[in-house]
Amino acid sequence: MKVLRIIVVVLLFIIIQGQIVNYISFKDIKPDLVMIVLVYLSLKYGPIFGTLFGFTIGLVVDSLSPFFLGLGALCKSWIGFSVGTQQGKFFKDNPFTQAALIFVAFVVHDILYLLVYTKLNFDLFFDLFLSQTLFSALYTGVIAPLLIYLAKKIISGDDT
Amino acid sequence: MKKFIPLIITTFISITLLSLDITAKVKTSNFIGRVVFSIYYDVVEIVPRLSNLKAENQRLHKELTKLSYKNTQLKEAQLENIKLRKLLDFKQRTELEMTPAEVIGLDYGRFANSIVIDKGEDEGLSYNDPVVTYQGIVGKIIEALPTKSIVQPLYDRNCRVSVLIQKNRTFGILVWESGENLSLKGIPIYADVRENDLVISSGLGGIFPKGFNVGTVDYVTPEPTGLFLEVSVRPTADFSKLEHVLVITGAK
Repeated sequence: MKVLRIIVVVLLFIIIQGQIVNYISFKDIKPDLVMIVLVYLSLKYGPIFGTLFGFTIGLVVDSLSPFFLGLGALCKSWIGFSVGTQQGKFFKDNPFTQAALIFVAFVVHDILYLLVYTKLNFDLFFDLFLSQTLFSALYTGVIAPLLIYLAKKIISGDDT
Repeated sequence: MKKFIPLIITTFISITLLSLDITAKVKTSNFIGRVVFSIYYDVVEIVPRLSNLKAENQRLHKELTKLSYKNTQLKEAQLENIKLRKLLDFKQRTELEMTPAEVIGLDYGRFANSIVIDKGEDEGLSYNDPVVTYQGIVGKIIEALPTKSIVQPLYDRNCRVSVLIQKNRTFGILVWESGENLSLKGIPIYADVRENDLVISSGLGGIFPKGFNVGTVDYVTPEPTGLFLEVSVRPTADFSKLEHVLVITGAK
């Protein structure tokens, strides 16, 4: 039953990301709800779950733009693994801790992604990083506590 | 040690996928899309549609696009006639088949932009089919699923369109780098390019038929090298209000 609730949370976040996020975005600055659910579930269920979930969700997102198929899967699997190794150490109900962790995960993910995406073109790398990543990471961090609260409520009102 | 095994496996698979050629990547993405997105968009499309209004709307959009296209073609014919008087033979233009579609998803990724439409292989759509509105070119299909298609819009760094400036027939390549405008590359410094000049598809490259509106020149400045012009182009298609599009099939 809990597996079903996790699937519901993931689908809900993906639907919100695909259908609603464009209406709450500012030019290229948009929150990444997939990152929120990845970090939350990786911390909750550990590095193996985080790796596999990150890989799967990354691959699904990559399939929308096949030119870089595999890149999102690679980055998200590493983020899922890294965050998952911190299982039990973070993520009490402090919204600032939640926001900070998601901000850091977002930034690290994008650094890895952009290094490959830009093919080490550092002009383009810094242009995208400064114009999109930093502000999108902040935006995602700010809305994360609310969405994590929602996710917890759906997955049986869990406290961890 | 056990926790590293999935990471090693997923890393290996990811790097393998990244190193595939584009045809294999498209096929793999297509497979994933068939499994995931067909179900996803069937779930999302739960609001019932007024089919009569929709059919009428689609018919009118199709008509409008044909008329707009014919208008551009007439102007093209005028300019082309001057050249053709000096030639001994020319080819006749063929009527284009168009399939109307509705936009059901936008911009899922943050660095790679895409548009999802509600028609796919079942309606005869296929990879590289051009996508337009009555205003101009929107992009091209990069994945055709059975009942949905993913469109690579002009606002994607991997999208390249061969174009020409209608007024003086100067060829160039249109790309998107950042911001609201597109960049027209390869225009020599001596070319007569001015604000509001119309940019149309050239027909080269075999994807976009010749004569479709792509954008209008916003501003022109010389490049630092002094050899080319930096031409900023505003797309004619309104991407902020993209609801219905037309897919050109049989244009190849």
